[in-house]
Amino acid sequence: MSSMLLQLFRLSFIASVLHAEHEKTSDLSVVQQTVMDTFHMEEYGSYLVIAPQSSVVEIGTNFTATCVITNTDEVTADDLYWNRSLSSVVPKEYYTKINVSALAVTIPITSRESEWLFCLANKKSAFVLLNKSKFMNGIWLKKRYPPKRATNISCVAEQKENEPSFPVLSCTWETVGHQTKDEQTTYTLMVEFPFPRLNRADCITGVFCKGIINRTETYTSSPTPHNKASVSFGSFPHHMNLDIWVVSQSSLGKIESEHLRQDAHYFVKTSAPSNVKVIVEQSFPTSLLVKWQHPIDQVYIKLTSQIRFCQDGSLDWRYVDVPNADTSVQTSFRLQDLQPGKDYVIQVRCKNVRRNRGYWSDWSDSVTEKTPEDRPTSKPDLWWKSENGEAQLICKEPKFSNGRITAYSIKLRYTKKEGEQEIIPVNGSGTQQSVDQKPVTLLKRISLADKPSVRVCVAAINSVGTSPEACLHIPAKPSGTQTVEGMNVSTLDGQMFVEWKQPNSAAVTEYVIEWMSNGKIDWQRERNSTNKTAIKGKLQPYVCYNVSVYPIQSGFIRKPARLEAYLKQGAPSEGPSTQSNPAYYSAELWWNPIPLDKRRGFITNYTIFYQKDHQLKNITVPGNITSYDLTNLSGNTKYDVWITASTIAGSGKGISHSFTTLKYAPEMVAGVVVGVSLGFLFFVLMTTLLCFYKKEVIKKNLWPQIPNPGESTIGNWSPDYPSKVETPKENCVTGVCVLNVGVCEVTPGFEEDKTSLSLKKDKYLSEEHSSGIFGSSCMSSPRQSVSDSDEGPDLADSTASTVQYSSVVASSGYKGQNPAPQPQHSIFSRSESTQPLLDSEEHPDIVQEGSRQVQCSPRESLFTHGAENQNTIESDNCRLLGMEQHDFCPLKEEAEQTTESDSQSADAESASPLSSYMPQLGGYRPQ
Amino acid sequence: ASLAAAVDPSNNLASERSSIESTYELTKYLEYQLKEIKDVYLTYLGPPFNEKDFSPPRPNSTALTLPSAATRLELWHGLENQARLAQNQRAYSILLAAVRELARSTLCPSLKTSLLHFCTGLDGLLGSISALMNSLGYSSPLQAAARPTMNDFARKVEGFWILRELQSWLWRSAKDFNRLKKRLRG
Repeated sequence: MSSMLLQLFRLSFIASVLHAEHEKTSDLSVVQQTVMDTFHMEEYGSYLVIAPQSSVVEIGTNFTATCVITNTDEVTADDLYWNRSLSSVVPKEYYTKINVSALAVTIPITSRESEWLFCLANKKSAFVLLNKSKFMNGIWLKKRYPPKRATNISCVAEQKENEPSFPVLSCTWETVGHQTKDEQTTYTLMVEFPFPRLNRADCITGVFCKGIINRTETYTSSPTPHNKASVSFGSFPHHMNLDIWVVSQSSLGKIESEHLRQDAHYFVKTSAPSNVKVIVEQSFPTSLLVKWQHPIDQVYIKLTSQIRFCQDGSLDWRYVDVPNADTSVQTSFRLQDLQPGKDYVIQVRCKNVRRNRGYWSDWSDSVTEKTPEDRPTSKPDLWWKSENGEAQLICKEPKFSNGRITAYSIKLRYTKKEGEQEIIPVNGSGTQQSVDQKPVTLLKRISLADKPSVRVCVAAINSVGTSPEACLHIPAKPSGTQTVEGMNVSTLDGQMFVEWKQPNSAAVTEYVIEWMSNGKIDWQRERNSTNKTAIKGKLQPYVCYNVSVYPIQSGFIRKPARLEAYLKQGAPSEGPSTQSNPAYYSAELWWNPIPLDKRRGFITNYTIFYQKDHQLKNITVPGNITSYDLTNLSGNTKYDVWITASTIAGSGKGISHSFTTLKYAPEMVAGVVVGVSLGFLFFVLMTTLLCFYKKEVIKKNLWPQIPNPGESTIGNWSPDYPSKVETPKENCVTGVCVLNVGVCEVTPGFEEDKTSLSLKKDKYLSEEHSSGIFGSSCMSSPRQSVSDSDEGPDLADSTASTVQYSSVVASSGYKGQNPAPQPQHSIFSRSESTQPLLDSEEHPDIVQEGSRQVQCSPRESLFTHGAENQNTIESDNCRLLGMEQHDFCPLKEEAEQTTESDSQSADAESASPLSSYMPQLGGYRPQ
Repeated sequence: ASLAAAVDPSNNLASERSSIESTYELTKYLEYQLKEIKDVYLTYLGPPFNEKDFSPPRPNSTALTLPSAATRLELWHGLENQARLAQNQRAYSILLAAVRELARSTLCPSLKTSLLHFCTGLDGLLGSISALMNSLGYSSPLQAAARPTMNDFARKVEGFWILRELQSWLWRSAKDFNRLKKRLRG
């Protein structure tokens, strides 16, 4: 019973493992190993055996396995069946019953995934059911492709430096076939020699030819997964046939590639020839003799050589195969048909002389040598350029300058008798440019102002001789009607083509195609039969060329046809800069044409963009105008405007420009001006009329009648005041005295002077008010100094020169109780008029009464008011009460004034007769 | 013989010419190679073999049972191509075995390598001659020879003469192949 349980457990374990394998193949190796171990455990007791036990099967083939029943008669072959994986039953048509105890299955291997193949027994008997694991076996089918096959083998054996040895044969090949990710084909290069040379197929492939060679040497590379390998020879098998092939190997076996059977020299690549020398012979200016050495003796390999040469800087190589003699190897060659006076670069290489054997070696190092100079054999290319009223003779070196041009011989002939000759030395380049790229040389400037034409003949001179002459009749102005018509310029594949119609009448000997841009001129000559040609000079794209076709008639230049053309047009690199003259509803725009070098093409149109508050509008105008009036604009509005210039290749944007339309239209301004003018005229008119009719009223209000004091009769009006005008001076002196009396030194006789009483009263009031306001003014005020000093009368005389007619009310200063350090007399309002003061005259009694009150009250108030605060309040009250409290105020004010003065001057206090003020100082508020 | 019957010389003229050219070049190369090896080998043998005018008598050993290459030129030229090729083949097969024995018995490793490489080339030459004879429809009898035991000096003399005979044969073979090439061209 325990044995059965163990079997069941094993079976369930296998099933679970296989299920896991089926679902998750990524961990294949672990699963595979586990299952295989399990089967090995079961092998000892299994009644089924599969042959082969484990196999690598080739994808795309059929695989046959046989299941054999052993050690039991419980089942027969009819009870067996095959499963691919655990559950997929192989159909019975794939089965082949070998005998009663063996069943074979043949399955096609199509997929790339490896899988299990199980053999199981299906018989419903208790024994089979109980020993189910013993009636089951399986094999793991590893699926592989056959090894990839090498093909197209090619080999090379490079010469070891300076030795007749080619130690390594390196081969590469391509591969054909498939390969799974978990399998890699390795390749082994095989080389065997010697191999029979005959090319007959039956010999090459047959055993017979193999038997010809007694012994062969075989070289093998190390296996590699790559498509290249090499073998090393001890001694290179010169002159022997090699048999080369590649063996591909994988787990499914080996495959040989096709065999490459060639002479060993078929694969050699020698070093480059050495010691290349070029010999110059002065007597052969068109020839150079080249000599070199082969890299290997001809006993090993017989070599042939190839020379290439070019003019220095051109890289236009010409190749020469050096012919070989039958018996000897050629190691020198004479290059011919060279141009005299030119630098030539020469290289040599070599290879096996046998055709299709070996590779060309690398080129030898370059050798540069110059052919000897010869006299120029062609004419210089003479042309002319008209500039600023003079003709500039220009030319290019002769095509066959045969050396460096050192000078030009110029012959000028204005008439049959008049002529000149000149030799102009030049520093010829001697470079190798083609005739169309030779630099242009300015020979001479000649003025044709007073001559119709000049015949110019130029010859080039080098160190050997002089070239043939090139002659040209240069007119002051090309004459004749335009003989070339239908000129057209087109571009194709980066070339500019010029086409024209041949004139019918004129006998043109040749044409000169001239192209000019930015002051640079170039030209080329064409035969008279030509009517279309490509410009051979180096033209730049985006550059405007003036292309002209000049017909030449026996050396006479005729009137050309001319066109502007671009090799390639582009968008302008910049747009036009805009200027504007805005109006109210419109704006005039104008712009300068784009500079020629910035256009980069023909301007087809301009597009004017203008924008107001993000509303963009545009107008396209033709390319030939440079101004435009923008209309339908809004008044008093800022516009941003820019112009793009367009060619067929694109547009270039100009700088943005802003303008603001006028605030008013001119007609609006005119209307306003007229309206205002009319209104003003109407106003003036009405005002004039008003003044005219209301003249008296206006005069009365604006210029009131002022009585003339001179005509006043008041002086004579009252007999009681005969000396009214003169008395103030006297009264003033006495007035000072009155004040002193007011400070309690009463002068008895004062009251008697009634004439001056009113004036004294006035003065007194004035001083009291000023003292009240400016408490410290006693020291500096002349009037108060008078009051503090015995010298008062003298000073009073000086100050009393002006008569005071009115009292001063300085209430604001007083109210502040904040006396200034110095008296400010400016707050006194004083009339300088000599007019009699009518009020004083009208109320003389009031003045007198006040005067009396002042004189009697001071002493009382000194003892009545001890406290300063009370004094201040009372002063304020005094001011508020006005004239009604006038009886009490002056003394208080004077006491305060004195206190302040004393606090500032102890001397004044001690000297002052008013020492009675002193006890109050302690209670006085500091200023 | 059946193979030779299938050969059409006119169809394979170009390949035969090329084969003869290659055989000629190989012969010249072996001649050049032998010249270098011979000097080294004579030095290896030591005096008196490395002396300039030393010439021991030619032994009649098995290795030298071949006819000498120093036959009269007109007699040699009087032979048919087939006979000349057959003699060449026989001479080289004997000489190859002899040189291979020299290489085997040589103690100097570099000289041994050179001799073995030379043998490879000589084997190639032998194969080329055999193939050439086949392509021209000639039979190529091969033979092997047993070697008697010899003392050291006799072996040195034999080696001396093997190389000398080989040099003569190569020199003459080269001329043979050149002539054969020209005849085929004509």
